[in-house]
Amino acid sequence: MSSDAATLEEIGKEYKYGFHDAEDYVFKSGKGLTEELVREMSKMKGEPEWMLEKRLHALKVFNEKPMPQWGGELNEIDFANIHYYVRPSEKSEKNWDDVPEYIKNTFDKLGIPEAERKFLAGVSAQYESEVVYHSIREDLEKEGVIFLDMDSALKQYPDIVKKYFGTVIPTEDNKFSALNTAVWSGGSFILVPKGVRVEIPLQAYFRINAQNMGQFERTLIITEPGSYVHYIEGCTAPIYSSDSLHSAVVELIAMEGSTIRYTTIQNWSNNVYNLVTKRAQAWKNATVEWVDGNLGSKLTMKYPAVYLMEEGARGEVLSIAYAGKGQHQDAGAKMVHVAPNTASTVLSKSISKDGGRTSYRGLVKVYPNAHDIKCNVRCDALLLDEESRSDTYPYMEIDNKDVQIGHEATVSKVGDEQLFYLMSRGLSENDAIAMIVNGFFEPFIKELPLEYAVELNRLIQLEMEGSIG
Amino acid sequence: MMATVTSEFKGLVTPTLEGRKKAHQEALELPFPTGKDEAWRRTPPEKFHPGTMKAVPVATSFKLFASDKAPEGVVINQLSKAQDVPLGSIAPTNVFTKLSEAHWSDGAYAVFNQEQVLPHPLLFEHNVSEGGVAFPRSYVKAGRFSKGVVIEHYRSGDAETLAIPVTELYLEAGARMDYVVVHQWGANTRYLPIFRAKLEKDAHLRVLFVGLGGQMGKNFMEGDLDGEGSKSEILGLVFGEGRQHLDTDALHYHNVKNTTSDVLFHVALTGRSRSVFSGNIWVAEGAQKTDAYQRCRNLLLSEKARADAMPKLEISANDVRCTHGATFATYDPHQQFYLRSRGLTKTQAEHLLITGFYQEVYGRLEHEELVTWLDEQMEQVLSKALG
Repeated sequence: MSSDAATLEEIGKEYKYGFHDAEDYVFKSGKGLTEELVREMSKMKGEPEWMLEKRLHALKVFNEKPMPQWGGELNEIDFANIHYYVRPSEKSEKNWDDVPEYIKNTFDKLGIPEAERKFLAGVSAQYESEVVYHSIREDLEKEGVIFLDMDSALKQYPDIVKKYFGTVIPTEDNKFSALNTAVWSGGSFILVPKGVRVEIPLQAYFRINAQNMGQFERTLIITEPGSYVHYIEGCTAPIYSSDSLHSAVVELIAMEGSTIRYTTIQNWSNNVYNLVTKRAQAWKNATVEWVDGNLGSKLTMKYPAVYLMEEGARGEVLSIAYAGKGQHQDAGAKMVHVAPNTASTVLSKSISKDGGRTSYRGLVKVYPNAHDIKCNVRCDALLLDEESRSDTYPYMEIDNKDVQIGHEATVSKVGDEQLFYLMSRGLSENDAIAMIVNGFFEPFIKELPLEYAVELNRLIQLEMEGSIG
Repeated sequence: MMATVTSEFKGLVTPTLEGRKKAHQEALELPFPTGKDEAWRRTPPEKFHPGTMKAVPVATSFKLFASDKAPEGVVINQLSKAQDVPLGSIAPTNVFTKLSEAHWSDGAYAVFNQEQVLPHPLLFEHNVSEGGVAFPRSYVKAGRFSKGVVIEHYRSGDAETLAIPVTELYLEAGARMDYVVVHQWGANTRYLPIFRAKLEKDAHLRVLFVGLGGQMGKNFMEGDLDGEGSKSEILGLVFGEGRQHLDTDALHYHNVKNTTSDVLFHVALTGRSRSVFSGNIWVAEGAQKTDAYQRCRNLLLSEKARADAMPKLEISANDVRCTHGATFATYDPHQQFYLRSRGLTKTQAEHLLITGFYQEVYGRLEHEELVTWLDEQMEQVLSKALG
């Protein structure tokens, strides 16, 4: 236990993924966001005309929308000082050996190919703006599972992409979804055919390497009736003195009776703004689960949403947030009950330490015709010292009477009675705190497929080992 | 905005007409809220704009329950007849409180001197009989270790009325106060009560807000816990019928350590009525040992009723216990079935279920006379609505 206590002290102080590579890129855009850049990007990618039009429209929307004045401090983001498109290599490789050496080294350090060999059904690795490596197990490919980077999907399946792109999160949704739509690059495209269950997770890694980089991946996952998929993403970046921006758009469509589980372990370095829009549609009897771990970044604003579109749909968000020195985690969940007989659960746990700030911001909305709704929201926050801060902003808009909806939140410090009990059993104070924090995060840790992802395990251990025992 | 300051109200002792004119001018310079302000996102602020409405008087009377005479150390009066009232010392400054300062006509005034105890509840009745904009204004001070129960009861006629009551409550060290406000406005009245209390060391305040009438209400309630050991409860009973709309903001500021707050709202909605409840617990840096609780329960009794709840927490100290919750439910159909099987009509059963739903809040009240009086008012409204 004493090593746990020591590691607890170390949380947030040491960031293992802070190294960076020398830059040797095929293309790196100048700083700033212009129409010319958007046109050039689209041309380099060889995109169809409709996508270019979508991008240009989105750029206009982005420029027109005011900066949100709620949540975290966004006014410090200097949009003119960001590289919007950085292309590290010419194409996405299917064979690990063909990936450029320096990138390979980076991902080797992150432990990815090793994990893939052992446990994963498919892996995608994105470096700066482009996916540099992509693979999927042959048997899944034979069953018709499509797992591609978004750019390749646009080339190979233009009709499917055109049909679903931006239907869950429209360009106009918010300033950052517009920004993403204008300059998106990379991300994953997954389509699981009817009745196929992908029992082993598909995984994607996002790495920012350059300074003042903007990464705007775009992910679209569609599960056809009766299918199942679990997608895991991990994010890291080097430590620089100036800030980078990560602004993804993730759209999930779970058709009748299918299940999508989407796990994120966000571990950006503390100079990354992480402003992500994630939303899912759950159709009849479908289930969408967001498992969301926010450990890194300077500011995260992320509220994974599930729109429960038809009867029997179920949504679940399980999230943990950790905010250390200089960090603000403004995370939460949105459950929108459009149809009757739908259910949702939100469990949010957060820890603030060394002056960090965590916020839970959530929405539960029930539309007038959506009767027999069950929804339960629970937020727990622990404050580990006097300088830290925790806020809870739940919004509940209930337009139907036949509902059972509950919201509970508590903010507290580690309980004196709990500490006293553990210390009376011979534990030191630090060990006792570590054990309590461990118990606090346990419901989340339990959900992680630790047996599958060695590197994920390592990452969790590194960030939280002390605190989770 | 109202163009001139009228001096038609009788008994304008304080403040002076010049003071009122100045306040009116200041009000004109303050921003009027817009639908983009967080507090006004769910209730249209333009409905509370006085526009060209005529300022109309408030008729205030008062009586003591079961006793004609108050002890000498308790000064009770109509505000318009009181001297040297520190109006505005506690209320927040905004366009509505400034307008109130300029145009208030009458309201409650009660000062409990040190260690004075009023054994029976003190009831103020406010009535706005004319259509127009009315500014009731009240000031209550509970001196050191004093104790009492104060009720304010607002009513208006059927004419279109905008009422903006501002109430300031000051509790000195060790004071105990039960404060009940019943808003039983006419069907065409929009009301915007602004209530703020300030508590010194070891003062205990229990506030009960009762929302029973009116067309649309935007209700601001704030408690400032300024002294260690102080405790503030804000309770609420709301009954919505027809197309009524009531939007409440309840906020506790924990400014020092060792303070306690508790908010409990029970909202029952019928017809197409709508309720918004936004609560906030704000804990200052260093306000350790804060114990704060907040809960809003919504009972939705019809298909078209709608309830929103936003119980928030903003915490900057770590050694605290802050909890909030909100629930939404309709009544248990089995309960209704049982009551129907005993021969009650559907509305009678509803009536009984609502009364039961309110019991937890009633249970917090200690004063028997107060409970009996409140029960009568409540029963009148429920019987009229549900039979």
